[in-house]
This record gives sequence, structure tokens and C-alpha cells, in this order.
Amino acid sequence: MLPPAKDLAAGLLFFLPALALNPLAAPYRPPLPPVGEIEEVRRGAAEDAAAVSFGARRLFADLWFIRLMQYYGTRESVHDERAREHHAHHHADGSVCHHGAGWEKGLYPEFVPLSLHVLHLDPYFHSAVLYSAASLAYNLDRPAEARKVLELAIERAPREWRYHSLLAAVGYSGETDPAEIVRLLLPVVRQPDCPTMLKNQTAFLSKRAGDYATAAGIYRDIAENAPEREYAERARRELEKLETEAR
Amino acid sequence: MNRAAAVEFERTGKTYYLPRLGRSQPLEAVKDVSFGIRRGEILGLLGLNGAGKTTLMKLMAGLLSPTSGSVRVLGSDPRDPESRRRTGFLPELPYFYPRYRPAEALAYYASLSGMDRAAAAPAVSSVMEKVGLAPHAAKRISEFSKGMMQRLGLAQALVHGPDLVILDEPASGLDPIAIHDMRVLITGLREEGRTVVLSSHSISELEKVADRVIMLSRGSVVSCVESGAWRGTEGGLEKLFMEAVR
Amino acid sequence: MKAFFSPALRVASHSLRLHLRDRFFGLFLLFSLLLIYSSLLVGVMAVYQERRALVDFGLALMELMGLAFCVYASATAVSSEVETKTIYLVFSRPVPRHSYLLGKMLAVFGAAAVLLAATALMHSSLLLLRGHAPDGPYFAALAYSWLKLTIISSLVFTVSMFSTSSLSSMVIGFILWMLGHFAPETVLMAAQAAGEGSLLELLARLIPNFQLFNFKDALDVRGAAAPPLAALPYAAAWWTGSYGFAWALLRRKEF
Repeated sequence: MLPPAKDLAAGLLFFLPALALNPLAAPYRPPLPPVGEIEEVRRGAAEDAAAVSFGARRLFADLWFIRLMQYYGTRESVHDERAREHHAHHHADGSVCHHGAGWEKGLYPEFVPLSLHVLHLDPYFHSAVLYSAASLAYNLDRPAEARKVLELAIERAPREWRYHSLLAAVGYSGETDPAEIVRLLLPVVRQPDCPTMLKNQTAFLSKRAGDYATAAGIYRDIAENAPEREYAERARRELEKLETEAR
Repeated sequence: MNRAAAVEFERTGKTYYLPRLGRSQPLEAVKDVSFGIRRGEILGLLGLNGAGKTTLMKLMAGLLSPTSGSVRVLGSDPRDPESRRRTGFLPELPYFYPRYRPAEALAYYASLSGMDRAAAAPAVSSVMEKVGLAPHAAKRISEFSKGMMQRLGLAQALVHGPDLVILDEPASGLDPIAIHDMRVLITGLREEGRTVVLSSHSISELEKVADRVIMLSRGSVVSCVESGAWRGTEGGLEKLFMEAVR
Repeated sequence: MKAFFSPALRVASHSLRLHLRDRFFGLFLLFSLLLIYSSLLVGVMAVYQERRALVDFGLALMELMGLAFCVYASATAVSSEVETKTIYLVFSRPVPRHSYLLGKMLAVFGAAAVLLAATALMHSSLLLLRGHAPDGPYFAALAYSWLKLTIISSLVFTVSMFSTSSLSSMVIGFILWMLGHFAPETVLMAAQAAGEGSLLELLARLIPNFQLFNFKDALDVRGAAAPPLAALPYAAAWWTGSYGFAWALLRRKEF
């Protein structure tokens, strides 16, 4: 049974301070994109709703970044006509090779939507944004899409200087001066959360620019600190080559 | 007000409002009841289920407010803190947190009655001795039998040394030996000068302990009988009760 | 003052002990331990983002476990005493109802703090095992989570005063939690909507804004959550409102 009306009314009076403070809190907006701008990927609306409802956007951004890395780290299906057309390096069984001349190449049609999904949830997830943009620009040869990702990231997080640096570097990638790209990327590469793939690319560009000392420094960092075994092994091989050439 | 009265009901009524669809249905549990309870006596409340015994006890314990009339306990409103400090209440089939030991539970209720730790510790030991729980002090309440739970219930009602003790069906679910022990405890309270009010379905039990019995039927007092009356009547209290309620 | 706080502290102390000895509390702790250590897999999959993944997973998990416990404890705090009739043993004593309520609420707040502290200890040990150290923002996120949990606890507590069952109180609690995280979006939609804007605005005013306390969702971002000087009074306003409303409902209730 409901309590008497006067008790209800008396009780509601106690809520007045809280209700009065709410409009003052209304202008406060968390520094994350509005929910309406999260574009659904792979029928994941329920997960997006859960991410917001439980205040766990960062966590879901992490999970979707793992999903992106797994997607990019998985061979594309041989049944994908577009994948077969575009790859230069084929095995006899018709599968696409990811560990040779065509390593990390491929079509990966969902790469951009998956990247943007992470960005919409957490635009301050530097590593994910840099990983996505650098993969698009330097591995997948899709600089226009890389710029799209970075421009959106800058719109969401305008004070993140890493995004500006990489955007400038991507802008230069069409030019013939790798040294300028390296100059723009070095501050980003020195950050502890910089994706290994971007460090690797910067080292490669340093070599192309003739700056072997910088290249060796970056390869040493990768060899000692990269959690990805393949990158670490490749970096050690490159270091050996550089040391041999230096002698 | 009668100064010798521990409790006084003056034209007291209590109506419950039962929720129904779109409305509430009134239920008159106690109607226009007037009687007093003398200090130091053991008063029994006797009646069928739904007669109003528990309602009267809750009114005395300050758990309910009368819809009409008044209730005075030890000279005050039963909802006053001072009145509650001097009252002990045992509800029917009391429950205690199973993982506690009896002393822990009693210490808690003693503290709620306003006793500080220094006063509560000896009071807890003393009341556990009195109700016969001292040998079971190391057991958890989950290991207690029904009789032991009733004793613990009585102990929490007595731990703070109340002047008025209200016991709702204290012998409920007990075996004959436990009932006997409970009876001894209750008569012992009178010898200590406390006023006891108890309700029971067991006419024979009330016959053995009560100084006076008030018979209730459908919320009204139908009879008030002194112990001498049923002792002098063939058929005893049962006969008097059957005549009163029919 | 003493007559108000003394019984409240006694009730709080007793109720806190009951919460900590409750088998559900133990289950929540055990479940948290299992989930926290299973998050190692997430950390491994995140490769060079292991620290971020472990921290985010841990903070979210601790808050969720805290939410589940707080909603359960608040919904059953008074109702369990009514069902077992132990409330008679309390209210037949000189315990003012407002003190009783305060004690019950404080006990849930305290139990939430113990649960968060215990799970944070487990999680910090995992982080240290993997070579990462918890830092200032990590502990700040925990403190803000605790504030969120106290607000939802106090609201569920109030709902339990008039709801017909503990289950419905819990369901309402979870709904309020989710709505509270949507508060900024509700305000935005109210500003953009035409006719229905006033309804949305009313809704936005009636629910607490949990995003103010969502420090864990923007650990690297300055201004991610309301500063402590704003967050604490805001939380206190909701505690007071809930407490006052609950008292208004309980003061004349008969058992």
C-alpha cells in the first residue's frame, strides 16, 4: 500500500538539493563522442549499449582494438574474390601469404569500420588510432583512409599531438623526402605506447633517408621491448645487417 | 490513570487497511478495548486466531499506533524511548542471525537498549545463565533447537532488565520439558517484581502461570477472569473460555 | 546528536558485520578473483596494450561486482529484517527510525568500500605480477566508483521502502544505473528534441548523472570527471535525498 500523500510529499522535499544540482551538472559533458555518433559494426549495437550503460566505453574500446588486431592478423579468406585479385604473392594451394613479400598486405574491407568503431568509443586511445592509421598508410597503401581516421581522431581529440604528427607524416608519404616523415614521426615513436608497427615503419624510412643511426636506435628499442616476437626477430636481423654494413 | 497500572488501554481500537485493487479494505483487529494490567502480575491473553492478541501486544510494545483511544505503558506513550527502554518484547517464533553466537546477538540487542559495553557484558552472561543457554554459549545460533531459540528470544527480551515483559506465544513449538522450563522462567520474573503479559493458545499453560486472563474474541474483550475463578470452577479455564466466546 | 548517531553506529556496525559474513559477499569476492585473474588472457591478447587492458578490465569488473553487491544489499537491508521479524526486536527498543535507517545505509557504504578494497588488492597484485604498477589515477578511479556505488545504494534503499519485492528493487536499481550513465545524452537529446524535449529534460533532472563519477572511462583525459570538490557535494545531495525520502516513508510504517 502506498504511504500517505503527505509523507510522500515530505520525502520528495529531501530530494530538492539533488534535483537543484542536476541542472548545474547538465553542461558537464564527458570528453567522449556522443552515443549517437557510434556507428554500429557487425551488428554490435547491444555491445555498444552495454558499453555506455555501464560506463565502460574504455573497456569496450580495448576489446574492439583486440578484435581489430585479430582481424588484421588473420589471413583473409581465399573465397574472397577481391583478395585473390589483389595479392601478388600466392602459394600453390591458392592461399594468400602474409609472411613474405606480401606480409600485412591485403584488402581487409572491414579495417576502417573496425578502426572507427574504436575511435568513436574512445578517441583518446592513442595506440589504437596510431596503429590503424599507420597500418592503412604504410602497410595497406591506403593513405586517404588513414587521413580519414586521423582527421576524425583530431576532431574528437584536438589536443592529441601524436595524431597531428602522424597526419603530417602521412601527408608527406606521397613525397620523395622520407627524412621529413621521419622527423615528424620520431616524437611519436619515442612514446612508450607507440605501436610497434609504426616504430618499424619509421626505422625503415630512416634507413631510406640514410639515417642509419636513428634506424639502429629504433630497431634496438623494438628488439628489446616489442611484445610481438616477429617484430623483435626482424628488428634483430636488421640490426645485424646495419652493424655488418657499418663495419 | 491508575498509578498501580503497568499498562492501560482506554477505549483502544486498531484498524488495519488491507490493500485491494484500487482501494483499501479496513479490518478492525481491536475494537473499543479498555483494561489495565497491574504491576507485578502475570496477565494472560487468550483467544482464537485473529482475536487481536498479537495486535494488543504490538500496541504495548510501541510497534503499532492505535487508530482510536489510547495506550499507556508505565505511565508513558509506548512509542516513547523511555517506555521502550523499560519494555522487553518476545515476538512469536523469533529469528536471529544464524552465524552469530548467542552472546553476540544479545550484546547487540543490549546495546540497542542503551546499554554500554561495560554494562552489557555482565548482563549478557547473567541472562544466559538465567535462561539456561550458558552451556551452549560456544554454539552458533544455526545449531540451536527450537527450544533454545525460544530461550534466546526470551533472553533478548530480558537482557536490559525491563519492568514490563511482553511474550507472544512463548511456548510455541516447544516440547513438554521446554514448556516446563519456560513456565519456571516466567513465574520467576513475577518474583523479581516484573510485569508479564503473555499470549497462548494453550489454556492449560495459562492456567498454571497467569494471575489473570483476558479473553478476546473478534477484537473485543469478552471476559476477564482472576485465577481464583478458574481454580474454583469445574472444567477450569477451558470451560470459562468456551462459555465466553460462544 | 549522540542520541542520533549512537544507535546509528550500533546498527551500522552490526549490519556491516552481517554483510561481510553473508555468503553472497563471499561469492562476489570469489567470482571477482576468478574474473580478475582470467583477465590475464585479455592482457595477453592486447599485446603491447596489456597494462591498459588489464587496468580497464579490472576497474570495470570491480565496479560491476560492487554494483551487483550494493544493489542486492540495499534491496534486502530492511526487507530481510521485516521478513524474519527481527525488525520487531529493533523497533521495540529505543532506536529512532531515522538512526536505524542511517545505520543501515552506512553499513552498505562500508561493505562496498571493503569489497572494492579487497578486489583492488587482488587486481593490484595481478598488475604487479605482470610488471605494471597501479598509479594515482587508478586509485582515483576506484574512489569515484565507490561514490557511484553509494549513490545507487542509497537510491535502491529508498525504492525498497515502497516496492513490493526485493527483486523489483534490484531491477529498478540496475535501470537507474544505466539511465544515470545516459544522463549527458539525455540532456543533449532534450536540447535537440522539439515537443518531447521537456519530458526528456524532466527525466534528466530526476536521475543522478553518473558520468560525473566515471573517472575510469577517461583515465588519460584531463577533466574526465567532476573534480572532488564538485563530486562530493553532488553525491552527498543524493545520499541526503534518498535518506530523507526513505525516512519519510518509514517513520509511520507499521510492521
